[in-house]
Amino acid sequence: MENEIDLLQGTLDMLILKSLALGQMHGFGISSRIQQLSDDALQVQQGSLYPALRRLEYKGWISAHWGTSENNRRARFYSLTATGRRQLEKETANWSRISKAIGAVLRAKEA
Amino acid sequence: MLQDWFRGLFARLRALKHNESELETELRFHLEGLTAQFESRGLSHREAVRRARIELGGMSQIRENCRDQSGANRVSDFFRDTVFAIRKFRKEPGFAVVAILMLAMGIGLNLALFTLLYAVIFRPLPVKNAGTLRNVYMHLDFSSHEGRSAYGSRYFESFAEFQYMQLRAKTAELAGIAEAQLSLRGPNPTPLHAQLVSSNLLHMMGGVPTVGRFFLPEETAHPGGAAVVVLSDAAWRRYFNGDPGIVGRTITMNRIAFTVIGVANPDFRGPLVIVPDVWIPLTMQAITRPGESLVDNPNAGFVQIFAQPREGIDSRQMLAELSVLAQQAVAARGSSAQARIQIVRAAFLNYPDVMELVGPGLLVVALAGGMILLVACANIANLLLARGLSRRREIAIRLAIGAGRFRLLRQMVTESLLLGLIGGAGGLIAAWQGGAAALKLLPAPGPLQLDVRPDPRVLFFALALSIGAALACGLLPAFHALRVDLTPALKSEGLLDSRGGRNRLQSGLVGIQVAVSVILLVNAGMILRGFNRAEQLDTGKDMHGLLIASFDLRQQQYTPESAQRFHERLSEALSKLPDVTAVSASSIDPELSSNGSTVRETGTSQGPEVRVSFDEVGPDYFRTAGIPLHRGRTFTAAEVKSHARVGLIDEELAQRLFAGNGIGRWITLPGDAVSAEKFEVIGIVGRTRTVAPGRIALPAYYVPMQGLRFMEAKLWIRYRGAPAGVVRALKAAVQSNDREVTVEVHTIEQNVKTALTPVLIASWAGSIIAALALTVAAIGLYGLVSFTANRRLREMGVRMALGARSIDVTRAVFAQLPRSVGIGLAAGMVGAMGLATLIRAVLYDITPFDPAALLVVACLLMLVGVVASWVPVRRALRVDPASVLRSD
Repeated sequence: MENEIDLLQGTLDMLILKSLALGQMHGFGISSRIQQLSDDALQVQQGSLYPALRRLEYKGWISAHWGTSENNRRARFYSLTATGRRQLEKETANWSRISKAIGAVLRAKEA
Repeated sequence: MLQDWFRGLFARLRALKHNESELETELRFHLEGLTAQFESRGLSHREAVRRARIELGGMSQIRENCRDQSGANRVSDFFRDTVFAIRKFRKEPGFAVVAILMLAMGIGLNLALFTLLYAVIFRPLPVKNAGTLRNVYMHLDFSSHEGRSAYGSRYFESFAEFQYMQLRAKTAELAGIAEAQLSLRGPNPTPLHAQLVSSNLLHMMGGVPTVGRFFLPEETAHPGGAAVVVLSDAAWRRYFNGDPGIVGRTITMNRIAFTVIGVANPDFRGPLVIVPDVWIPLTMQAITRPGESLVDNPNAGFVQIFAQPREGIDSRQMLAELSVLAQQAVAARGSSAQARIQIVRAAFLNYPDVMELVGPGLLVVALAGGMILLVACANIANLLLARGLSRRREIAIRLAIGAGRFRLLRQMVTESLLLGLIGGAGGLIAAWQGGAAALKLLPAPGPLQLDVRPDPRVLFFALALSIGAALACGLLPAFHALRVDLTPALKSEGLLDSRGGRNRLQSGLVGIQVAVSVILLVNAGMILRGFNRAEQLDTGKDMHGLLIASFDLRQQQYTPESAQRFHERLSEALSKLPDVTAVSASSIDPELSSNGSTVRETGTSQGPEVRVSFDEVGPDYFRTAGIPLHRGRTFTAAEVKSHARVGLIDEELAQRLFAGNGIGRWITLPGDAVSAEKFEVIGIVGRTRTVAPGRIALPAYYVPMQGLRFMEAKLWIRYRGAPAGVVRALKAAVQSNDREVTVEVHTIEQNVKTALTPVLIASWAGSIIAALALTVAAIGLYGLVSFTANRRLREMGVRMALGARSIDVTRAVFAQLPRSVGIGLAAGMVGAMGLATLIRAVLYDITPFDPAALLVVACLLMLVGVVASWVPVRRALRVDPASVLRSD
């Protein structure tokens, strides 16, 4: 079970940071936003979402406060911190480099 | 860094408290969101709730994961681990006590050494503004030998140099200090320890006069300056009953009348390690060494300089200015020598010459201390390994139900850390108390103000040692314990597993311990035997019925001439006593001091230069000392009185220079061609040697005593019967000659004892350390043997069930003993011989091949092994084969 988190950790963290870059949001909103933005291609494992949020909070990349949701319920809202924004830039750059590299390998024509 | 860590800890603790209910609310909100989502896709409410629950997953699992991620678990885990460890220790108090004691011993020893060194070399002085206080040392580079004389340290400044720098320095306030022994006149003359200071020193160091005042600048400006004295509070109370009208009173020290001008505050002890009784002006130095005035000799270094930088001055600026001033000061006395200034943080013993010695010494001490701590750690590691076995099932079960290996490792490390910290605390107390006790044993001319209480640096070192030791002894066994194959361990077959790795590791550790303790034991034995042998050593003298008297003629302002007359009159008076058979003067305190030089035969500039010891003596010396005359004759009284150029040599020197006979030949002492002294050999005497360790027996010569020697001369008195009467008569004779002179009398036996004190202390310390090492090795051996025996309990049961006789089983357990003990013994003997060559350089004809001692050590260790094996063997023999086969 811990392995699952490890596998997803890097990407999930990045996706959470990205979705928060668009504005503050509560946990449920984050998971729906990721789903929407990826045209339902990415299903966030709900069980890993909250541990990931705690981890990012502990690292100081996101901060949390209590607020009222669109349907007037008490919800915990997360927003990106300055360090989190920097981290997102770093991870985005990293990711595009990796995907480009992998893409190049996969596109290589067979001799 | 530490602050960050603490902040993190508190954040985690807060998180631990609040997060739980918050997470609950948050998850409920999420669940509702999901449910609404499913409902909007047309599912019934009930179905939507079900799907939402499935999608979200197990609540408690999420909660646990969140706790892990937020770091809250790490804190609560730590507390839980600590409590668990304490519970474990309480269940096995024997193990905990042994481990903690061993650690306390190892850490305490290292800490004590560190504390003492730190107190002497680095600790800030107990004076005002100690943090910025500096010492100023001068390195002189002579292009030619300029007759620099040095007292205290080669790097001290002369009075002229100090004064030159003090008057001109703008970056810092300079103060000078020196030390001397004085004799206070009274019904019984009292020795006082004095600090000779510049006028500003007492104020600069934070002293405050509680009565009267301190020195004025004009009182310490010129050599021979004012005869005024400031008393310490203790001396004022002790010698003058705290007389409030003491100021203005005259007291006589070294036969000079001093006026008391003040008393210092009770806490003030000055900046040097020996606590002084009185302070006098630096310029009064001449009265402490009559005939050898240093204060008006511009090339005699005896002043230690303290510097307090002025506001806003850094040490670079200070160094720049003082370097220029020092060079000018040296040039001002007409010297072309290069002067280099060194500025160091003020401490008790930071002289450059001391520091040069300290470096290598420190390394040796650190190595020795480290070795002992390492042995202690190896032992605890061994015990932990053994414990790991009994915990294998526990560990296997915990792993099987999902505990992380890292989590278990953390728990085991917490256990050893706890051991380390408790041991370290014990060591800290031991070092503190032991250090204070050791200080009292140090020979010193007065009480020492060394502070061995723990301070932040000592505490930090203790903490570092504790954690280091804990990791050193805890990590390896923890890794081993975690390398468990789950299935066999759970099936309780783990006990049968005969992987040899761990056993070899343990055997190796025990072997090393045996080796180390053999080395230490053999050496302790050698030193002890050396001590016995030294006491019975043939010194070439008659070592019974000899008294040695010394006098404080220097403090009493004697001149060489009056000192000689004093000795002559005293000898005459004593030789009339019926119990006294011979009296003579000597420059040597037998077994305690010696003079060294080189000689060659006169006229042979190429001839061999021989290293010799020598003595300047009175008439009748050889009869008094009991040194046999082999050829020729001894001095006549007239020859001694006229300082005739005659001398006696011992057989060894006669052999080296003249092939046996040298009577009538001439010997040249060192010096240039014109001034070198010569003497004619008139007799040859027997060889002598000294019991003092570390002294090589050198060939010797004897010449009549002359000049300054009389100031420090000892009177040797050969007597019959009991010494008490002679001592009484001696004291009376001294009194009738000069009431002020104090006399100190020792028997030759007392001198031998004093000379051997370092050896005695070394042999005691060696014995204690060796005994500790042996105990530690024995515990290690016990651990190993009982560990293996217990491990094979099941095997024994099987064998017994199959019909093995008890003798076979016993033999199986005992068979492994000789190997680990034997290898350790062999390695230890090799090491011991290596060390022995070192000790032999210091001691007497001792060989490390001491079969008796080795046999005792071997038997002792074997006995321990037997006892250690006996308990498990008995268990194995009594065991019911059926129950062993059934149980784990």
